[in-house]
Amino acid sequence: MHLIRNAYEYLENTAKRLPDKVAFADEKAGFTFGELLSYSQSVGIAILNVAKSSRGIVAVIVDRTAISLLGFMSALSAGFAYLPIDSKMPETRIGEILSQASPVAILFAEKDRRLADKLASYAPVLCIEEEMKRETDEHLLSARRDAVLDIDPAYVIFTSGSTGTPKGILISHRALIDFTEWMSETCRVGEDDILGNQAPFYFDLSVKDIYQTLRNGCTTHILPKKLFMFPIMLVDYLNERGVTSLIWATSAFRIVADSGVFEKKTPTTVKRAILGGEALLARHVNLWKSAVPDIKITNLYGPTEVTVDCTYYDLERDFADGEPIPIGKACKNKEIILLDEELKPVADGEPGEICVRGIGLALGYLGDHQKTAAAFIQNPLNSSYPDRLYRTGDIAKYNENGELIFLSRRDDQIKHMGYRIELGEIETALLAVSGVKAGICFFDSAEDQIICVMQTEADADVGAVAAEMKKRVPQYMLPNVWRKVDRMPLNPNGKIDRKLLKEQYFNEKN
Amino acid sequence: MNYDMQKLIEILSGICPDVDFENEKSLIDDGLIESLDIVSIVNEIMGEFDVEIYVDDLMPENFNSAEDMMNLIRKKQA
Repeated sequence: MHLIRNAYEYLENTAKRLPDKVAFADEKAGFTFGELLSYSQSVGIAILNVAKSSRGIVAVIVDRTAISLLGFMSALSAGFAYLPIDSKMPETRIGEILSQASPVAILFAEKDRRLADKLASYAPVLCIEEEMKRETDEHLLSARRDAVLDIDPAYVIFTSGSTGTPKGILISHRALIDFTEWMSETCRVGEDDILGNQAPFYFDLSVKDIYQTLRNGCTTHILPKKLFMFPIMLVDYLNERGVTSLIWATSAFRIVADSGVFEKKTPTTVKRAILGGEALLARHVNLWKSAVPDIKITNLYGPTEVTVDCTYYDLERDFADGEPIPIGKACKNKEIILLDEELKPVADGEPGEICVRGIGLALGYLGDHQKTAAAFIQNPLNSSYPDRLYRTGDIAKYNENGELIFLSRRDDQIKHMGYRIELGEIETALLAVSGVKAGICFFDSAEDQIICVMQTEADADVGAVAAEMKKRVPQYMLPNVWRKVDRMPLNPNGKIDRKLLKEQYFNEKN
Repeated sequence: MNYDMQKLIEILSGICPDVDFENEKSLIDDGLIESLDIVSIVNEIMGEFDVEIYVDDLMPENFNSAEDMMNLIRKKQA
């Protein structure tokens, strides 16, 4: 089999085979593989015309639209890596990310022109719709792509950083291709499949929808976000479009299961659910199985730094409500090693930190060598040659069947709505709001809610603080419960007594 | 504003403190509330107003404004 070396080849190959088939469709519009190829090459030339360097990153302002994906393909067509930027993200955060990434160009859809105009000081801005029908030069683009090595970055995804600054994770073409090939083999997504995309394109979970579609020639329908509030409409939408596969964040799977929709409607065409992003509960699996008895479910696990996922588990037996669902075993070309705090392997069945080695490890954090060195270490079990190991910060153990069971986090990081969030980043943003004297955040995992407790100036009101926070952090990082206290309790060290505040909250709640 | 409406606005503001529930008429269409907010809103409404909200009631027309939500509550109480 021809081994591809640039992820753009997936699009080239499928566009040759199925030029007129719809690749990605949103509520209003869509692109065939042929259109995606031809339009991306037109925009690719426009990027080359404005880029001051032949290497680097192209930022793409994204929403739940097919045009966002055209932006990604355009960057790849001209030999650049792409960086998705959520169009709804607070402008200050967009500014922080663009300052770190120094993109050669910023691509935007016509509807985001006002936002793009404000970003023009960071890099030349290009409207995708205006550029997508211009003349192209495939030889020039092809030469640019040939100069890209498979170890060069294909995309950059920014995630929450504990010190208050988001960090950019660089993923190479090789890592992306390796993951895509593994997933295609294991999850058996085929040309006849229809995917229902739930994950936003600035979240790496969507990499699965995008590249399974490009590799296998299936069609992805981008599901409108509001459908997840109105489950009957969601199921109707899935049925009308004949969606066969749900590659979703576990939280979306849970919301639908808990809504009671299955008492009224059944997804009739869904055959498979591939889930990831947070712990999968047997109760939700069983609710789905009651509606779709033959559904095949795969539970995936992995932080962005290992290229989407590093372990998987096919649910081939029934699980009783409350029984833990394993995260399974390592994906091909990835190895999981459980280490203790001294970086020594734990004994069989003992908990340890999940450490990952293999071709899929990220290149590192953009512009942050210190953070990269702390997270990607030399494999302590190999002193013979350079061998990188990524420390996930997640604690797991093997069960008696040799399957990995996720246990907890080592630090203050949480998983909320599928997103990896550092509570410290929310707190840093909170303390920067005028009128806030002190504040802490913690997570109520049972309710999937972020709780904020703060002490403010007498005249500061919670609504104003929340409105200000909305300008500083993405929607998914906004606290769901706001509490105001007159004084923060302190522990003997003079620090805010987080333990007490948590206890008070949970006691009151119960 | 009557007492029930005042109570509803209080509940909604507790969940989304930055949204102007008294005046906003297209909470869903303008993307001002999210899927998790709806879950919290429904739970709170059921608890406070002693009504049952079923999945059939989860339609945009019942949640686009505080008034729409109040109409749903009244229909359920009748």
